[in-house]
Amino acid sequence: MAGETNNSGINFELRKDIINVDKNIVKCFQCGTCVSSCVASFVLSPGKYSPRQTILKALYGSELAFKDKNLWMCGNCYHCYERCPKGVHPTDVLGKLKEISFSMGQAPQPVVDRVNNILSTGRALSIAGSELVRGRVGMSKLEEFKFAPEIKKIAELTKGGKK
Amino acid sequence: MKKYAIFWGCMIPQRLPSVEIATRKVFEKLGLEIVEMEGYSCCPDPIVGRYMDRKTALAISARNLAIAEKKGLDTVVLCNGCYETLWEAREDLEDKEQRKEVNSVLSKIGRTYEGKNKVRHIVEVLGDDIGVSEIKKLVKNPIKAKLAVHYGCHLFRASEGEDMWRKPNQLTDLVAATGAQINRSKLDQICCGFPTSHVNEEYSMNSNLMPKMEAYQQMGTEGVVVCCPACNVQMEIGQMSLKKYGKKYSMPVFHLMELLALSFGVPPKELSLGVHRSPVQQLAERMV
Repeated sequence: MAGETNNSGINFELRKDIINVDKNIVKCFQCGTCVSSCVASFVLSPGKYSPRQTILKALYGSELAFKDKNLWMCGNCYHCYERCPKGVHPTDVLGKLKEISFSMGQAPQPVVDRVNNILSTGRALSIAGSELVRGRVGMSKLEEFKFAPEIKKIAELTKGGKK
Repeated sequence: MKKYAIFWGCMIPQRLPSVEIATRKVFEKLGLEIVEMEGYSCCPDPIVGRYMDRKTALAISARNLAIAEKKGLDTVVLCNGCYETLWEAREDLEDKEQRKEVNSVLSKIGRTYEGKNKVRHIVEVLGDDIGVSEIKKLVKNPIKAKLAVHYGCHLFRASEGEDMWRKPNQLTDLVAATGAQINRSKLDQICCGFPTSHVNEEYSMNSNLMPKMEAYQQMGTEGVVVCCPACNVQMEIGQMSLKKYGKKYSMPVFHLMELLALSFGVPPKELSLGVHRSPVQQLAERMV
């Protein structure tokens, strides 16, 4: 995300980025259908997590939208996406905000660790210890991922995974 | 013999190899061939890894899809997370410009992606290509147990105009086809807590997993069927973690493919159910 935040706390570049991801977001009329469909809101204590408010902050281009750690409570279940009466895709918007949060170095440490693992080994999980499980069922040990250089090359070319 | 390129993902080979064993047995019984996708990497996972950077993540996904495409096959996944990432990547790469951009990266590693094939969840493959009635015919040992079905969030990912309940309902139908009695609960749709367990363990345990476990227990559920290894691992390891919060459960949780293999008459011993961290083995011996 580029651009400056003005005195009113609005970043027009952020607003543009968000609208580019989902044009329908400008149609949001804050009805709250997303909140009532949201499984994260359902189980979190009232007011702690609200996709409606996140959408509003994103629309305003407020940096609060991606600075909220609760952003990562979204599990991409797509209930809001399916039910929005105006065709807004909150899951995509939240995804973009997570991406921005990562690139600004605001993502929680486990997220950063996971990304590093994928980019360096090609696997989401470390294979350490997996031979114990596999050995118990008579399966061969997993080999180190031979194609890891390809993944590294992709990361290098796209300049991804840097916070 | 119909062929399918299976994308095993990270969780199955590393944490739940029993699902791989069961899948191979089920495919054998159905007369289908498994084609390996040599050189696949992490999809990358949809909740955490994918947000590294859009272009990077898209190129990694495209590289995976290109492996199946080279064999002229659809990518079939056994994991909801892989399903979401790969499905969405395929959808995004329908756009010619994005595909061109991704291909400019892939060409540097000697690969190319054209977007010829589909990404399908195993539930869809069994429901559409084989059919629930065919599955029913193969059931040798009807399952005698009350089972709950956990769909997993990303199974609700649907194309424009598609019913978001199509795949979850197919999953329920497949479980019912094995003869199991299905225990429904209003918490069936709630996330298992895996995506958030990295960020906030307490939330993931107390707000997601515990209410689900509580509901299962109240309804006399004997086991939970999932179609995603990440949900499976979370629900099993989670039960162990919940002890910290003073809650004790011993609910067997297992994959749809294991249930099908058991109902098709594969002896529980051949499935190596011991890799599970919940009493799946004991349930398996009791329910067939």
